[in-house]
Parts: sequence; C-alpha cells; structure tokens
Amino acid sequence: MKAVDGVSFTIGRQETLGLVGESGCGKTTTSRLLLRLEEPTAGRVLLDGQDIHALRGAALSRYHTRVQAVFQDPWSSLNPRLRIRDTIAEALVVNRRVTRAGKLERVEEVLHQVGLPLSAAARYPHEFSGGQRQRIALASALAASPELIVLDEPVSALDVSIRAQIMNLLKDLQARQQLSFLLVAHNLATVRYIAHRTAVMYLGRIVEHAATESLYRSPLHPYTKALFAAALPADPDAPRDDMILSGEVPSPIDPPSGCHFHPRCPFAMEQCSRVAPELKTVAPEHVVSCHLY
Amino acid sequence: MTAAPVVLDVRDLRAYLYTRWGVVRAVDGVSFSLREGETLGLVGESGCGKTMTGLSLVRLLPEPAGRIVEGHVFLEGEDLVTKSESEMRHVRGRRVSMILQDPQTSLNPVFTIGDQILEALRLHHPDGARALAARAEEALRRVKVAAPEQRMRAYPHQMSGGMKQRVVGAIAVAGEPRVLIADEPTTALDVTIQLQYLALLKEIQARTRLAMLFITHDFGIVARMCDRVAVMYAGRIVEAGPMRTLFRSPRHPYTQALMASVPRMEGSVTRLPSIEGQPPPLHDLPVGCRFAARCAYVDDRCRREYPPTMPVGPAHEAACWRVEPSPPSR
Repeated sequence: MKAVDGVSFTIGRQETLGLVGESGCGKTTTSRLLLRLEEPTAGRVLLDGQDIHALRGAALSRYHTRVQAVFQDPWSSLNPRLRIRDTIAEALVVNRRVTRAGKLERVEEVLHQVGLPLSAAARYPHEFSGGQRQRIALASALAASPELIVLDEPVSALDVSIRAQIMNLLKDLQARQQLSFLLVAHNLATVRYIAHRTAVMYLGRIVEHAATESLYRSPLHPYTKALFAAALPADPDAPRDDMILSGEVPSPIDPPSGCHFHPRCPFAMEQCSRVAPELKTVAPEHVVSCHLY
Repeated sequence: MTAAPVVLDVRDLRAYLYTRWGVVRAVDGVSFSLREGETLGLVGESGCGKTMTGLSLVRLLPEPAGRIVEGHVFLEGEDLVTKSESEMRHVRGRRVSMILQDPQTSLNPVFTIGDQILEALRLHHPDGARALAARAEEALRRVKVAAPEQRMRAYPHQMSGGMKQRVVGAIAVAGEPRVLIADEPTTALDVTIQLQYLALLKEIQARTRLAMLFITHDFGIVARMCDRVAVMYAGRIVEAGPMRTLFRSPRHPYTQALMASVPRMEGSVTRLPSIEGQPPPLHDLPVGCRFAARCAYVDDRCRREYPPTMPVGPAHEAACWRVEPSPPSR
C-alpha cells in the first residue's frame, strides 16, 4: 500500500506549507515521515540538505530538537500524571547541558510565549480546557527551540472561537521566532489564514500545489475544486458550486489505475484511467497533475 | 403567506444534571419551535447545552444524574415531558428520531444492516417478511446506498463512515417521523462526503416534510441547511432568528463575536478576531448575563441581572440589555 506515493515539496524558513486532503490521502503519513516516526520506502527527507533518516547519535538528538510536533487531540497528547512543567521540560532532557534552574526558566519562557500564566507550570492537564492544552502542547514543542513544527490538525478539535486564538498565536510565533510550519489540516478556511503555500493530496499523491492565494483564487484540479465546493462558507449568499462527488473515497490499499481520482472525476477522459498525469507548472509557482492541463 | 404548522413546541425547558460537583444546569430555560418542513439550527460551542437539549427532547438524558426539572416539549400538542417511559418508546424512532455524530453508537456491530433496518420498519409496518425486505431495500436506495440487496447482508464494520451515516439516516426515517434531531451528524465525515450527506438530508426533508433540529457548531453547515437559527450560550438561547438575518445582522454580542471568529474563504487574512476567556461552568453560573465576563459592551446592569429576551426585528430576538429592542411585527 502506497500511503505516500512520490510526494515532493520544500518548506523555507519562516514559511508555512499547508497540506490538505481527506482521510486516506497520506497527509498524516507525510507528517510522520518528517518526524521520523515512519521510514520512507523510497526518497528522502532533507533538513538543510541532510537526510534525516540517515542521522545517528548526536546529530539525531539534535534533529529532534530542530523538528517538533503538535497533534490534533488535546485530550490525549499530554501525560495526565505529569505536571505541566515536567511535560514541557521533557523536551529539554535531550540537551543534557541544561541545569535544573535553566529548565524551569525555559518552561516559564515558553509558557509566556503561548500566553499561559506561570501558575500553569505546577498544575495538571485535567485542570485545563482543550484550547489551553493545545497551548501547552505548543509550549512543549517550543521548549527545544525548534526550526520546524509539524502541526497535525492542531485546531480541529477546538471550538471556533478558540481556534481563532490558537491560529493568531501560531502566526505571532512564526513572525517572532522565524519558525517554519507544516500544517496538516482538512479545513480550507483555517489553512488559508496561516499557510503561505498549500498542497492538496489525494490517495498518496499531491494533485495540486501553489501559493495559497493562487490556489484559493483559482483551484485547477477537479478534486481541489470539489474540496472547495465542500468547504461550506459561513455565508448564505456566497456563490454556490454544488460539485457533489459521487461515490466513496477509495481505499489506499487498492487505488484506481492511472489518475487515482478518475472514478469520481466529473471531467474524466479516456486516458485518465490508463495514465497517471504528471505534475505540470501551469502558472507561476502553481503545479497541478491533471490531463486537463 | 401562511407559515407551516408548528410540529414541536419547546417551552422554558430546564434539564439539570445532579453530580457530586454540584447541579449542572445544562439546559436552563430553553424555548423554540419547529415547523413542518423547516430546519432550525441550534448553534453553540462545546458545553453550551445544545446536545443536552437534543437529548431532553426525546427524554434520553444520562441517568440517573439527568432530569428534566421544568418546562414542556409539545409534539403536535402532546407534552413529551409528562409521558411515561413506555409511551416514549413509541415516540422515539416513530414520531421523533435522532441521528448522532458517531454512527458506531447507533449501529449494533453484531447485526447486519438489513436486520437493523428491518427492526425499525417492523415497528411501523405490519407487513410480511418479503414486503418488509422490499421496503428495507427501498429505504437504502433512498439514502443512495448502491446495490442495496447486497448491502442488506453487510455488517457495519464493512462500511465506510459516510455509508454508515446514511444507513443511520435510513433507520431514523424508516418510521416516518415528524421530527428529526441531528446532532453533529457530519462532524466525523470527510468534507466531500459531508456535502453528499447534507444534500441527502435536504432531499429527505423535502419529500417527507419533516421538521429538523440541526445541532452544530459549524456556521457553514448552518448557512447551507438552516431556515432559522438559535444560538446557545451557557445553557440558554441568547439569540434566535431567520438564518439570513443572523448572518447579516447578528445582535447579541456573543453571536457577533462568534461569527467574527470564523475563518473565511475570502477577504483579508490578517488577524482573526477571537473571544478571550471561556464560558462559565454550568455548575457555577454567575448572576446576571452569562456572557458578561467576556463582553465588549458589558455594564453594571448586565452583571447584576440576566437580560430578558427581547424582539430585535421580524421573528428575531436576543437576550441582551444593550440592544435596541424593536416593536414586534405582526
């Protein structure tokens, strides 16, 4: 089963790449590959030119301080038996040169960065709300001073008004600390707020990839168009594109031949079932893999 | 123009949960009505009481802690609050149905889809086995399940999330209910599947004229599905009105702040307004307006006294001291 099938992208410093798609598209596996939670079957992940899966020893330890993660579920991501300060300090354990006092100072620093009071340090996860827990998860990720943070659906389990708080926070942190983000999400409106570039995935492949503004202004791939049509706008008079796809999302275990999207594609042509389309540049910094182009 | 008849009339409903931490006033004086063929959206964030409201309507509050302490739920004139449990068993699934977020909890994993639909149909149709099987296949066809004859023999685990929700929908409408309560039915579905499912619900509603209470936190769904909207906060409805009116001119500060915090697909991407703080805990509610601690327009009266619900436009009301009430129309 090809969870991720020939995916290529780059993320620059202080840049956010949004990775969008529905279940089975491979976005979570992609993020896990970046975190070294999975091994690639082929291809490489390079951080500053170095193959992360070839790292060993001290270089590997350093990698883990350079790339951190925040996951979707605020309820299970924090150890319920540890005080917040101990959870956050765990990230600093990697760098053994930090003293105990140094650790506490760092804990307070990151709590401040995520907008939590210092009193939070001595408390336990159950005392906090979902939004606050995501802030704590973010603080843990920031503790080791990373360069890249993988955010896997960081706000989808949160209430709408809290999502806005966290998104604003992410934007602020990126500006202040020159952070790079890989934002894996399914909500297009959320991604639009912080991603500079966005890639759309379907069954393990990137079907379209462009500067966010360009993608949102003119989505080209039929699947991207369907995703946009399905992103119901909070506006009853927004122009409605009722592109309702037929059928189910196919299983990645047995994907359709040629272009994986052809069975559900309203524009499918004869060659679509035989030949997988290549990613082609059709506009400045805008690539799409579709026989229509 | 005559409005459609009212099918469900909820009056001053209060449902509390008696826990060791105190009394959780989950539903604390909620009133609304549902008309035939119409969809009312019940919106709010987690902990506002919208799910408990839905459960109260069919008397499915968690026991023994949950209880309806006051109020009425008139279904075509009959008060469901006063009915016995055995009477309610005849109401659920037949006159009022409910679909939940997670199809796993609604479908029995050890029975086939066919058996579960037949069980629902049998209650309503005294037909023979063959006629019932035909009805069951037709029920599946109506929710766009392909190859229904084969699907009848399938088990829930063999189906995708979207298909399971469609089966749940088929079971829910098998008894031809007058009211359907949908509690976040698409939250666990992929967006393209969600779109299919919402279109299906609309189609079923157009065909059967059922009244729908759609519980959600998603304003995109509200804009697509709802005729009227009621916004809940800390156990009470703070604003209610026609859907377009709520989007164009929300009057309650909470509604305004909530809508402003929803990310848009166009327009500027600078800062997204958010609401500082959190809702008060339902077991420890403040005197006065419950949004006071987070409201930009708060004054002393707001903190001292809970505001009455006031008309602010045609069929539009809000519970706020700071809005200009308008004379009720008609």
